[in-house]
Amino acid sequence: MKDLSEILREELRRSEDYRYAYDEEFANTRMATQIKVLREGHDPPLTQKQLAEKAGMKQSRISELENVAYSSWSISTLRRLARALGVRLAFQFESWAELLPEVDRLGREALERPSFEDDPAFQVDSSGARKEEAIATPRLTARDTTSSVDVSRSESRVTWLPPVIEDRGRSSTHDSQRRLFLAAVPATSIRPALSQESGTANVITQNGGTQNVRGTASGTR
Amino acid sequence: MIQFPRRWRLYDFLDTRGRSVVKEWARTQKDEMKARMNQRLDTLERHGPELPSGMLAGTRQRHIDKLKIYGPGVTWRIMICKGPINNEHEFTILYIAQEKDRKLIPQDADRLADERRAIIIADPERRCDHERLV
Repeated sequence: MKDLSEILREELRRSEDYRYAYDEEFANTRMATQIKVLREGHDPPLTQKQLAEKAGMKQSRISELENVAYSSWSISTLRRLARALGVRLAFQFESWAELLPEVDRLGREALERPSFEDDPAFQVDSSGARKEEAIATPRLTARDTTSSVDVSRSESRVTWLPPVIEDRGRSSTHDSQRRLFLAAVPATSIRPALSQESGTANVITQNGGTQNVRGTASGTR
Repeated sequence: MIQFPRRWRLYDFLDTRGRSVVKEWARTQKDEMKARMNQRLDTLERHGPELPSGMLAGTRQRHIDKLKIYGPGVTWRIMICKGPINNEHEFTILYIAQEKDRKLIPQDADRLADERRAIIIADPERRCDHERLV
């Protein structure tokens, strides 16, 4: 039984026409759906008419843009919508590999974006301090101190199951636990390191073996 | 069979010779149209009609919706119904029509689709699992 990513990996190799048509149809579906998701997720939620007023358009135009069959996108229209919704518009060229997870993740949660006013990265309290620190990804290093298996010489693909890394001396909710996922990472990228603060993690080698190693968090702030 | 968290299962109507109407249509289509059809049906299979707007449009027939797919120089209207065996988790593709100047070709494509829906209700063997277009 194949998952959709595997199927698309094969199908997109079929021809240039096939992959560009699939991507175009997907991009139209995603953009139309994201406009609707952002409008409904706005605080307060906006009707099509309200969004149209904010963007200086007619309600019928918003209805048209939220329809997955729409395909004549213009950057200037999308910029107006972005401003009306309080988000920013990003447009860039992407690799084909990016399409697979994008198709796989398409859904309301993957399309939601906070408006500038609701974005934690820009919220400050009355003293001007940021209310919430951006959660930096901890650099995780590992060493094998408990087993004879040398992680650095394992097969090239390993999966790092998320260790709970204790960060002693910090009490805020966000800092009490951190999780790190490293998937399909070359084993050679996990380098031995020494640290006083450590968690443990199971490393699964490509051939199915399990290896318990220690992980450390450092340099996150 | 595709393995992913999907809510909806797709079926194709089988003609009197036991051939899928979708596969028969695909035999005359180029890669571009097959890609557009596959993508639209991938979305329908995963999300049903709820999340994406305008995925399905109604017709004159109460139980028949049309899925709009635009190709180069041609607009296809895929006549589809929920169920008709399990209305909560299934769609069945019944008829593939064209649209020109806002008119269906054939003009009674939605009625023909409704007749096929009735055939499936009477004989559920007149449909098969939908397979991706290759």
